[in-house]
Amino acid sequence: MKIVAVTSCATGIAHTFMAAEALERAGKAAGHEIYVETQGAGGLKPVTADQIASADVVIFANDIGIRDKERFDGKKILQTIPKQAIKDAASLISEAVKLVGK
Amino acid sequence: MDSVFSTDLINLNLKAVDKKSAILQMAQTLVDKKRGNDVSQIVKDVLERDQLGTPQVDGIAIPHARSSGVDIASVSVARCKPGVSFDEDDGVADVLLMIVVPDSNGDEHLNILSELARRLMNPDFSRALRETNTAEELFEILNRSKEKI
Repeated sequence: MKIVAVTSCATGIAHTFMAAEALERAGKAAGHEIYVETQGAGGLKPVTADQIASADVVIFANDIGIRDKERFDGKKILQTIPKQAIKDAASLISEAVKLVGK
Repeated sequence: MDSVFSTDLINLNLKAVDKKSAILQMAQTLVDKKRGNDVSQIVKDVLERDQLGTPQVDGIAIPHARSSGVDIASVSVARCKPGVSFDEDDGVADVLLMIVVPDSNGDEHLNILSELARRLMNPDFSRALRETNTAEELFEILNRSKEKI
């Protein structure tokens, strides 16, 4: 399965990147292809339009607004917070997979 | 560019009764080592940021803030027994990595800091933070690239 995720937090220094790493690790461990866009302080490395188009599901793990959210219009979206991704990314990946089946 | 890490900023035996006391001692060291200029401002900013939640994984907490009391972006490391609690839900933290950057900080340090946040999700790195015996050894591990540990 292909998953795209966006992470962001209030100061953009820690949670954003911990959540991204957790989701990448859990996604790959479950055998999925996963791309994570970190909307933190410092350079933004956006996911590509192709990655979004081919994604089966999108995970938003954010405390503050997602930048350029309209890029994800029409996608199946699992909404969560960075803290949850850090605590238990594996469960979020399973939830996202379930969302695709619906 | 000054390194964000320094053996001076590593305390393997911090004695603290609560998070405020731990942050206060770490802020004091930053000022003593000429990396900061205002202990109470640093403590205030870190505690304010803590209100929004301090990241914690496996007993390792990362209090962090931008602060006008900081001159040089720094990562202070403290191991404390029995540990202090940031968020009751997360339990006790016995390793603290306090990240502080000056208010006017550009982007160059943020990459190091974000990489550190990512590395914390690696169980091998957490283990190294707990099990190294000297500040020098820990400093060396912190300076390694993400790929190595």
